[in-house]
Amino acid sequence: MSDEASPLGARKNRAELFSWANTLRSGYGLVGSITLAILVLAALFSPWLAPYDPHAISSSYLGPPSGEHLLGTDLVGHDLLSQLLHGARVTLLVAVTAAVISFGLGVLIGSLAGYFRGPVDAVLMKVTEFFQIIPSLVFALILVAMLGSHLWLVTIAIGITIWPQQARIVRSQFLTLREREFVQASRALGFSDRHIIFREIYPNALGPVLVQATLDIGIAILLETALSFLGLGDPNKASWGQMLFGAQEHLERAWWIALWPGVAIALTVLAVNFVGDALSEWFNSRSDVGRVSLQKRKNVASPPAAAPSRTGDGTALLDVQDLTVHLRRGAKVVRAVDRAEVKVRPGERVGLVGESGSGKSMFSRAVLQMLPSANVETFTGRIALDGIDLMRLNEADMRRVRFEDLSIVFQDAMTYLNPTMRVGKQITEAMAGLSATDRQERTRQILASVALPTTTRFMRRYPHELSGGMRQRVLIAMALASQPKLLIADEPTTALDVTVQAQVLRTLVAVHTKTDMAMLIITHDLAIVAEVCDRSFVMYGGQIVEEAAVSRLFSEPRHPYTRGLMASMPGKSDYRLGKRLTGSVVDLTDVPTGCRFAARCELAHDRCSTEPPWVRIGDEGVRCWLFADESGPIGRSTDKPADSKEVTTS
Amino acid sequence: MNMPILRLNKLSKTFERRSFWNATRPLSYAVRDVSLDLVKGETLALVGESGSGKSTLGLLTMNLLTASEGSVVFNGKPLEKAGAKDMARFRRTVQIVFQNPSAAFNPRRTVLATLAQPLLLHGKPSKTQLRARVDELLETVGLTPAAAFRDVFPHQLSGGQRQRVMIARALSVDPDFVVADEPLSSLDVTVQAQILDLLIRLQRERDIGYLLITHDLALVGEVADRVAVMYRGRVVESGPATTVCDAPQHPYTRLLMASTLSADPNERRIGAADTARVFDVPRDDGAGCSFAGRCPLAESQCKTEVPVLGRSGQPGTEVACHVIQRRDGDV
Repeated sequence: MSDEASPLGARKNRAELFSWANTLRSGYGLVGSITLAILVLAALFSPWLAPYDPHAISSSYLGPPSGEHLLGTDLVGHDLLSQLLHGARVTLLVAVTAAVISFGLGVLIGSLAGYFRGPVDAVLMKVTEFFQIIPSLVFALILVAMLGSHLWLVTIAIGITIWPQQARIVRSQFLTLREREFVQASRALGFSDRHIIFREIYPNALGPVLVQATLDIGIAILLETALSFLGLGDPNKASWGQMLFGAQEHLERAWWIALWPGVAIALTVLAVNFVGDALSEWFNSRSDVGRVSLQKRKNVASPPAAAPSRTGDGTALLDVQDLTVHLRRGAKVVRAVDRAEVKVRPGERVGLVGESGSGKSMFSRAVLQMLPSANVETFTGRIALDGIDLMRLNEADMRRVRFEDLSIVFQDAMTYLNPTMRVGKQITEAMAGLSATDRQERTRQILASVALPTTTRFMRRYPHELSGGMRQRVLIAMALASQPKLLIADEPTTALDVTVQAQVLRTLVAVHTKTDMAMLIITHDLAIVAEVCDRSFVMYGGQIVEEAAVSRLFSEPRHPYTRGLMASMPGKSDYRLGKRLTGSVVDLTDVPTGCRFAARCELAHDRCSTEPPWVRIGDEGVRCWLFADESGPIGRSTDKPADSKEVTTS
Repeated sequence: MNMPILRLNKLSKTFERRSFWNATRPLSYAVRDVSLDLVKGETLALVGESGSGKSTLGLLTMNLLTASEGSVVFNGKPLEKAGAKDMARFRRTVQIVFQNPSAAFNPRRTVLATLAQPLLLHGKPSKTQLRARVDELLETVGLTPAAAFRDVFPHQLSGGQRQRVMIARALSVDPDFVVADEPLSSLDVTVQAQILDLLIRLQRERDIGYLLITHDLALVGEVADRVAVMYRGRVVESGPATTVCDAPQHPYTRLLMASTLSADPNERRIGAADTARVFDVPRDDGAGCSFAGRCPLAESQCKTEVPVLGRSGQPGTEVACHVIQRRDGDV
């Protein structure tokens, strides 16, 4: 329906933006690892790479960079390039050893504390905190001052001062993983502590711990430099820090002595951090595969919208026609919604039932124009609210529609409430064009309508101070604040207890009877539809498979899928007959060309390999071949060739 | 009736309530003074809302949490006095199935490795025996052909398939009793029915007893033999499932039943007429009945004296309610 060219353009720009960002991100890792690799190689092969013996004394002292000494010479006449290369050995050795010490101590103490908890945890964490609060430099200073400046002593001092961070990370990983159900299951099966620690917890805790170990190398380099600069390095082992130490008195005459080790240190630490960032990015991306971020952005740029076109047949408040939403997931395309037709009339309570993977949530997001824009592959069709085609609105106009005419109540109230804003304020914010006192008054009315206290004390509370049911009702109150024409409730009670669920549903019904507002209730729970709705759509595999008045839907379901759903519902008479649906929901990335339900359908036959038509039967409809040539009570389908996707008569 | 496999004897579990200002940490009870008998071949449904302590009781039963007071009696011996040998037997006898199948597996292990581990722990099978046993387990839970599921990782399976693998893991040690903590609530409706059928079939074939922890009363009516209703850590009503569902006694059980949605649009229970009554659920100070603040029948006695489970008017059921007990006592 909407212009195809401009969405494509918009999508391409966005895709380019993202691929560029991706390259940059992986570029960090690449640049970092190459730099590090060169450094390590240079350190390993320094005896062969260095043009001079680092301790050889040449005739020119404090010589600037020249052909003979590429980086110049220092006070004594050492060749700085050679010193730098040999210094890399010392510096890297100290840093890596210190990081290993920190890793060992951190993992040991962190896992003991995290696994055994209780008093063990308390004691070990006190020790960790003690080490964390003593200034590391002072500690190293004392150690070196007491025992002399040996390289190994410096290394140990550094290792001992940086492990607490690692220990904390390991401990928190343990505390989280320990409660995970697969660890609990291992305990239930009778596995030993050793097995659980080494086989269940460590492999899963590895990511953040390795990242911290990498970052520790950078920290150790900086600490070593600081110690050497204070004169506490091992004078016999010329690290980069030692070079800086030697340079400090001649900064004004010979800038190059300090410059090279300084640059080397900065580069190395930067490279290490790049690698650490890339690693952590990688571990994170592996742990949340397939998570889709939602953005309140339309990527379907509309054609320069003239006056909002008023279309539609006038009877429907929400009129969705031919809505198709395909999303990209990796290399695959998720056919979340395919050619959906949904109408909601003013004041009606309509259900949209489907299991997970039926596309019902993407349907509601499409109506709100809140699709995860980076992943949208196709978004076409017509969505008209009160005659205004939402697909053609620009973002500003759409925002106004969302603010005034269309409200949504989500499942998870806590995520959708602002935790730092008082409840009353959040409701008031959703109102437009009223004076402050009017708003207060209106807020009280709304609170009363959702059966919440109307006291100022209540309005001054924060979301976390409320119970789950109260929060959900605050969310409903916010949705009502703008007096919308349509309220979409997306799984409004799923996370709630039964008694609270009953209250919230009662609230919704009560609100509905007082106002003229229409409701679209999206849910997986047939019982909610039975309780609340007048009419309902059933969605399966991205398609609407049945539309019927609720009383009829429950007494005589038509589509085999709807029948299966009814038989899966405890309390229905069919339940005890045990006519269960087999298999699971069709994979939206790989839908068959024919009927999407055929694979699970007892009544599937040869015709089902071609896509079934949408058969209108009076006000109702079903997408199934079984009804295609059976005259319904009022209308019947026309027999079009099988390749025509839909047969719709009314 | 069979001898109980496990006997929960006056179990209580307290947690420290942490407060920012107050260094003294008052105890809060998650489970309080619960006694139940768990029997082979029988399903005991444990019903309650979030925060009622039903999942904590499940973990206590499994000895995954240690009780603060009371004990789990296995084989006539309290578990805290059990030696390593008894403990190993306990682990083979009692198993658990969790609610969320996506969190219940080590993501780095294939299905074969997941199922092989407990077999290796509790026996010394050869490689071919192991494989055969794993295949048999997969087939038992309806994952056929087994070869198609052996070498995949849990995240490659659907929710229902994962739940089946979880059940297979519990079965791997051939238990007599399984604690099932909301085994269906994270699954799709049609899949829920499949898994429930599987659990029922296994019970019939192997005479397994279940502690079915759930918030879904419709489910209880369908599958449970007995039911215990929990509120704020206490069992407030218990008895044969059909009696409790058809004629709930305790005011809380009645509220639960009245809140359960109807499966029939012609018999709606949620009317606009009864406008939602709001209660800021009062804090439980430990004195009196913890439901008193919400209870339509509450009297002065309810606010001062904790009711204990006792006989009610219905045969076989017990109720912890002063008002009901007095009423039935007079009859």
